[in-house]
Amino acid sequence: MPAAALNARLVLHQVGDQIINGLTLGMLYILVALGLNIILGLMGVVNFSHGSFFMLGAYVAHDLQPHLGFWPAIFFAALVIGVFGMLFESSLIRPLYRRLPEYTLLLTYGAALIFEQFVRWKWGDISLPSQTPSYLAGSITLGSFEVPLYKDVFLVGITILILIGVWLLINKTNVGMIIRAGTRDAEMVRILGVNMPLMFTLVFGIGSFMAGLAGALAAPVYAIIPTLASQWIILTFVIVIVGGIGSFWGAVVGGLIIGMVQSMVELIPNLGPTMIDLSGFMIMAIILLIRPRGIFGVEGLFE
Amino acid sequence: MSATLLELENVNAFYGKSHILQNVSLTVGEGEVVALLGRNGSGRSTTLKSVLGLCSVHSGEIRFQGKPIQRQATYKLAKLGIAYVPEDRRIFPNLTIGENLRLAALAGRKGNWTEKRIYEYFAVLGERRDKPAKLSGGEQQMLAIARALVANPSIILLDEPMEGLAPLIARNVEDVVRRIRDEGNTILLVEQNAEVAMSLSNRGYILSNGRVMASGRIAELRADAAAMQRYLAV
Repeated sequence: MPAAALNARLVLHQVGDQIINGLTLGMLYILVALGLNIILGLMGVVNFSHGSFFMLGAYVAHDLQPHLGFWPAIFFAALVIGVFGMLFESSLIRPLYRRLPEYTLLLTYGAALIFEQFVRWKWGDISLPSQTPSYLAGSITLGSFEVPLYKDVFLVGITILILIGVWLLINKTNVGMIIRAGTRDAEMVRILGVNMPLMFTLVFGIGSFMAGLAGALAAPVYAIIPTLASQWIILTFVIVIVGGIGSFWGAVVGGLIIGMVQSMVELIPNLGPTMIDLSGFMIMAIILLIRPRGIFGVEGLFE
Repeated sequence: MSATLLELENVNAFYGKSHILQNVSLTVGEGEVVALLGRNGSGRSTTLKSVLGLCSVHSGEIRFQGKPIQRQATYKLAKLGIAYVPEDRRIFPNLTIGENLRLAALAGRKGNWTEKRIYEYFAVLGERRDKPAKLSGGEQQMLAIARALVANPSIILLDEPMEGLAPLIARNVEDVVRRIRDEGNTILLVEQNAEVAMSLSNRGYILSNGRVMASGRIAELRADAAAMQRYLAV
């Protein structure tokens, strides 16, 4: 086979691999961004602690795994983070709703710094090993591609199921109706008789649960390190801005775009690794120039 | 006179630091329509908001069915039977018409008004119940009124229902308010057009700079030419 043709096949193969990687990464981004976006849309809370909940999900799952087993540990880690999120909201954020959004931003940012130091103190600075059970460690063959079973099949599958669940919650239930209405005008929903403080706590819990779940699911794939939170939170905000504040499909499309683009720029010779972080911000800059409210953003919301 | 439903006694209310209501006292009896009259900025809308707990009431008392409510959480007022039709309507355009009504019914009270009866009453809403509530001004107002009714309230706080509507549409809304009144609903009405407001009401209060300047039955107010001229310019 001529060298050029071989080279072309190799590149094609790499592109295929990166598309699969991008999909997986995008799915995790969606899971984290969706929770952040619902919280931001409904309550106007710029929640910088959201990345910490993602990170803590990974650590808690890591600690629970020897006792509970792989899947139960993931579920209970998410549950622990969800309940923790509800306590966090009702004790620390609730007193600040009457004030400017900057107050909750500063509070959650400060809390994120504390969470990071807490993790360093409890689990140390270096990355923790994480194992997938042997039946998940293998891969399946799709054509000429080797697709890792856990990372690209289970993880993507579970995320899709969760997204369907969240979509049904938002569009087909009374709680979802309250969330959608509250995203436009929370005060009016309150006047109509809905206990909004309770709803806020519930929704904050759901968002934190999703972040914790994403962290627990990501743990076997990405390194469990104390900087996980700060790495993810910025990108998650980028996704929300690209997709549009308060929008379900905004988080989905934003997450996929950023995941895909980051995966693809890795292929650029020499520049690849340095471009990964930059690419997300470039996409955000472009979106902000042509459509400031984001792809699915709604006119008049946070403008 | 009928039993008093809503009562404000020497209410002082603030927005931030500005003192909007100064010793406002008023009553609304069961089955009555009471108009709050006055120019823009006279404190009429704030009076409604003070009842709903949307501005800070520093002193005075607000009673509903004899019980003080100024320390009640806003969300508990719907269950007590207080409904609000805000001046800018504030319907949810990202929900369907049906969802707008079901949301209000969810936390409201059970009674004669059901979603089904709303659609019989407001045909224009029934035809489009499953469509997003992207509506014209008049339709928005109908939906805002319907949303209040479906909670089966004891009193409706109705803020500027005809504002910003073309004359013909405004007359439609006026007819709806009249029909609701004739069914015996209690209404505390804020309306810019003093003539219309008085024609719909049993009694009225004239506000100026956050104070009640005159009050009484509509005929008595009309007879007070000086007050009418001075505070309402009619």
